[in-house]
This record gives sequence, structure tokens and C-alpha cells, in this order.
Amino acid sequence: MSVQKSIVSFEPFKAIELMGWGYGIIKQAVFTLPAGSTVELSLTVPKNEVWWITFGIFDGMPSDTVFHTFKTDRESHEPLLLTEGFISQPICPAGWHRADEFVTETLQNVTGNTDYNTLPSQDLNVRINLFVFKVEKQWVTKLEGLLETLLGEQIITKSRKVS
Amino acid sequence: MVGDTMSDPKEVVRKSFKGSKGFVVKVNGKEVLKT
Repeated sequence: MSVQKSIVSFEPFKAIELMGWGYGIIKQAVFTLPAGSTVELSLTVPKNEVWWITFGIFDGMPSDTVFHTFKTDRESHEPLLLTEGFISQPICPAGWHRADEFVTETLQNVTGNTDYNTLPSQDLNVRINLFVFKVEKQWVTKLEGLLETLLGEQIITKSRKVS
Repeated sequence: MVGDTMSDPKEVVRKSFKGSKGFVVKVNGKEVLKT
């Protein structure tokens, strides 16, 4: 009798969702970014949850008109110039970004600044979508080892006691 | 209104904002909205 070996691979967050430990939502914001202004959008992570930002994208603005900064309580990034405004551009670097306390996105309107563009100073329409995967903290704690296996060592930064 | 640069930025953002619940919005460092 021959034995066939099968390998089943899951997208990690889908596996977590199937096991009932968490679920994904989209947080959307649409607003006018005034000329010469900086707008900061913040989301607070509930105390009983841990979030992973699996993807984020924004669009609606001309290229080279907005500096943006993505930040969580666990990571901070340098301000970046939005270079692909109309066709949309990711908010955060590729990968999954854990947040235990907050997520913040800051946008600075730089229309009229000839260092970056040739447009006159003007208000901009902004549309942001953040893909948030929520996991109840009890599961993160109890199943940290499994999450680590599923999600990868790099995003589980909490140190674990070695007995 | 897009293109209108004469309005108060805080009011522009507050009046134009549409989105999910849970956002705290600051304009030039001052909180203007909680959704």
C-alpha cells in the first residue's frame, strides 16, 4: 500500500479566522486634506485585542503631493512621499504590522512646495483603507507559539520566558 | 471643498470626514473629531 503525503498550506490569518480566534475588518477614512495642513488619524486598539495591519492603501491624490507616516506602538517609519496617488499606493511596508495599543497615519499636504511638485497649493481628496485583523488577547497569549509558527518569528516580538 | 484654500482647515476636515468608527482625527496637532 502506498502512502501519499499531502501538504496543506493556509494563509495564516485565514487559518486563525477558521479557528475562531479572530477576524478581519476594513477601517476606511475619506476626507479633505487642507492645503498646507497635517492630518493625523489614530485608532486605539481595545485592551482585550491585538491587531495586525495586514494591508493599507490610499488613493485619490495627485502624485508627489502628500508626505505620510505610518506608525504603531511597536513600529515607526520615516515620512514617505506619496508617489503614486491616483493609482493608489500601500500605506505601510509589505508584511504584517502588529499593534497592541494604537495605529496612527499622518498625512501632510505639500502641494505648492516646488521641492516635490509643480501644483499650486490646494486641498486634496484622500481615501484610506486599512485592513485590520483583530485577535482576542486571550488567544494571542494562549496560542502564541502557534501564532508564531503561522505568522512568522518576525512579527512576534514579545519575549517568552524559558523554563 | 477641494480647491478652496480659504476655509479653516479644522472645519474642512471635520465637515468632510466620512469613515469607520474609532478614528481620532487631529489637524495640525489639534483634535477636531472622534468617530
